[in-house]
Amino acid sequence: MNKFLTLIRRDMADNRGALVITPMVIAAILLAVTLFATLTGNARFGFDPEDYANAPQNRGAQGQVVIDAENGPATVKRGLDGKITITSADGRTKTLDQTIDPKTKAGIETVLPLGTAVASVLPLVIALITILFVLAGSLHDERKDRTILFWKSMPVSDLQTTSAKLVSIVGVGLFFAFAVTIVLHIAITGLAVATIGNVGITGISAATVFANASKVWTVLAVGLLIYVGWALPVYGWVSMVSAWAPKMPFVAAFAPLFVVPLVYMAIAYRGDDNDAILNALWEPAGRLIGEPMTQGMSNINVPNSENLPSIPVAEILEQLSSSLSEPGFWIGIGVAGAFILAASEIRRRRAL
Amino acid sequence: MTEVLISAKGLAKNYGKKQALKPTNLEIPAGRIVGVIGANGAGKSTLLNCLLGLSDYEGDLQVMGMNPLMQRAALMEQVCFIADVATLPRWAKVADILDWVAGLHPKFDQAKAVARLKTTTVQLDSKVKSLSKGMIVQVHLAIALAIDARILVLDEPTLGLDIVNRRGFYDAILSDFFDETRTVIITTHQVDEVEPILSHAIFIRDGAVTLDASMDVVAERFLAVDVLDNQKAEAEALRPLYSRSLLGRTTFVFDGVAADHLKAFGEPRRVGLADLFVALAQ
Repeated sequence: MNKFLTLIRRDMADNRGALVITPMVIAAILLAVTLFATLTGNARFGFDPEDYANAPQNRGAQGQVVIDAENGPATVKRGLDGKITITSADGRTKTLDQTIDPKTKAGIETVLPLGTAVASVLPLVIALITILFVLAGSLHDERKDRTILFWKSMPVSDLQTTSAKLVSIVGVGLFFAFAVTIVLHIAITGLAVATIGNVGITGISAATVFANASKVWTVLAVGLLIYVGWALPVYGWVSMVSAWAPKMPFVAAFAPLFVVPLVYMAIAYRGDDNDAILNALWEPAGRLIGEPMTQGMSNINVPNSENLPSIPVAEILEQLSSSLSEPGFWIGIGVAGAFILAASEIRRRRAL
Repeated sequence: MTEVLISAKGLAKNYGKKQALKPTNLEIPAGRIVGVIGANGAGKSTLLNCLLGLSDYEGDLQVMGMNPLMQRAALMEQVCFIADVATLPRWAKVADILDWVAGLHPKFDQAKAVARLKTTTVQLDSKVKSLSKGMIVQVHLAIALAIDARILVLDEPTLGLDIVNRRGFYDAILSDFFDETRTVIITTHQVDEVEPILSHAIFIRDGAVTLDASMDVVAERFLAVDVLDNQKAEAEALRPLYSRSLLGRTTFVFDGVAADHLKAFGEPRRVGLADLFVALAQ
């Protein structure tokens, strides 16, 4: 086990730029952009220099805009304290908080973490693409730079090496990106909650927002695990091609997955969506985009008597888990094992 | 009886239709320093790759009683090798490499490696890519010498190094590694530099072993003598392996001719490995 952990540490160091630095840089950029927008945009905290300039005259904030409301044009203003007021056409002024009913506020508590999750998921999405490049180079690059001769002088089997590369790149790499995504989500959600409070909306519970965020994380974590299971045969295939390809391992790995079905479509496809050959040819690509695990997701029925937005964690998890009972999932795991063994055997028999 | 560490019977390797190593029989016991000598592409590295389990092969091969190809991981606990100066990961720090080797090799003494490196100019927090060739060899050597192995295999380990580093490298192997229980196998182009430390020589030409003998046997079996022009016919009658005319003298190399017979032409002398290799290549 110590050897395996050492191999993972080594591979993480080898791929630190792609697997560690990249998600952190993306997250840092997203956070910086969000922070900048929060401080300077329409939802600013009142730090606009113009506000300060106008403060001595007690003229209030100039962040003023006229919108078309149901009963004619309404004027939206922000005060120096950051609070928003809305003056309708008939001259009545309300705070923004007064225009939002408790039911809507409960909806915000649910929708907010979903919205910020969409904004925060980029490091994970990029990592899902990045690992394909890293994996394609993993067993090829050590031959290219001849370091394989050093690593093969260590008492470590080819299967251990091949497996460790897969675990470090796909397992540790993806779940590190997941962790970065969660941290980013917490930060952006925190900023959003602070902004809501700053513009004067009361009754939005940060605890409830983060409780709902934790539901998103649960769904994301389970979804990621099941996704990896579905995509594992593709990862195994890429490892095997990496062990074999004399050059351009990424092209060698992915060209067959996309070119072969396209060629088939050009030659033999007659518009039949149930063409078994075509479906089989597209299956690896489908697994990579998570298609098998998302089938039926749109049919989730959420019992909701109050018609409030909700995050149906149990229903989503049930739907995700149901894909585990499909034979294709377990056949894929077996195929992945065969590819990893093949990659190990190829590495065993060729030093360079 | 001396323990045999490497035993090969009919060991061969083909790359497609090309026979890189023709069927070869070898026995290498403990306590030897073996030089594997051959031209580029002769099959030296192919032989070493087979011994180290780095490529598949035909025939029977046992290294430390193990099948190198199928039991390489276990074998590498007993065997250490330095392929050449460019195989350490350039992106890694020296200290990280030492940590990883410590985690991967149960017979690696990290403290010993660090102590050795502290006597050099290599900084532990340096990345390999920032080191000179000589420093990289120092790192690799520190790792190799800190592993308690029975067999040390060196494949052109000093390629590209200056004379000072080359000499220091072999001095370290002799003083810090070699004893009668261990064996060192070296391939190198700098035959003259390793010749004084070799106890055994294996010549390879076009994938075939042309000589497999101890240095004592080589010294007894092969003799050279400078012959005057008026004695050339008599010398050629003894069927020399090789002759070379230079500056008015002809040097003949003989295989298995007694020194007493050769004294009639001049003082017989031992044949250097480089000269012997050329002679056998004719």
